[in-house]
Amino acid sequence: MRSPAPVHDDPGLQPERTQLAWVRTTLSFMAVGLLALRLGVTAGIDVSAIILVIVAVVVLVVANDARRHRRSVHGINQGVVEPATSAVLVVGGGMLLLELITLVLIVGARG
Amino acid sequence: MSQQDQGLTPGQPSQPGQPNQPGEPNEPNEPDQPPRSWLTRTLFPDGEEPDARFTLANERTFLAWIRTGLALLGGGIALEAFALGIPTDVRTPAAIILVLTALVISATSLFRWRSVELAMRRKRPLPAPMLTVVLTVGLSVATVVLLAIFVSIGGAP
Repeated sequence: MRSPAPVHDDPGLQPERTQLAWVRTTLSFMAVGLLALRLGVTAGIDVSAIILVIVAVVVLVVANDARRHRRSVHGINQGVVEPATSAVLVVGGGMLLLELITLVLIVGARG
Repeated sequence: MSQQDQGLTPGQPSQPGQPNQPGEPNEPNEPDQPPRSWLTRTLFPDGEEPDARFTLANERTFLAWIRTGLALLGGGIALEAFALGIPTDVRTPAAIILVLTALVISATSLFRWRSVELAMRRKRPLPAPMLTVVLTVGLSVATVVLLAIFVSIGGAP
């Protein structure tokens, strides 16, 4: 049976704020990704690349999600926490890819 | 630190490989940092883990920058994706400017996340916020310019 949610005494509520920041960012990413799909469709260009980027980012971030809050609570309690390196790189990298794909779509559809 | 912070809790000696008791000082050669993934060790090879609150704050700052970039990216995409009655020779450069700004922001924020974490690990001063200020100023200028374009072509209702 899964252990109960860990508790911490940080009045700044950092684990919760950090978790919410991840959720908000992932939601915004999905919304913008859907917009990019729309752009790809109206430009008549194959949108699979966009879909792949969106799915990869969302899946990898969400998959880490379950452990993240628990891990940051433990980190607050023990004083140090490991930075979420893989999730940061995935979101940053996915973001850069989405931007490059968008530029290609805009420039390619011109004229 | 008080006398009792420096001592070990009676009956709970610190084991090598275990995280520190709160308040216990880190010795440089003692393996009492939390286990780190290969990726983290590669990107942050030296120094010691900063306070958890600072690591989390750095993470949130990075995510806030990414959301800023997402807003710009979304604006650029929306300009091109939806027929808003804006002439192409104004709309397309505006869209490209927005997306390029988003690109610069997201690339910079990735590097900044790493530099800040490294500076905290090495107990050095945080990197100068100059680039952040430059980005913010550039962002504001771009926004004003785009607003001016829209108003001048009668885009605003």
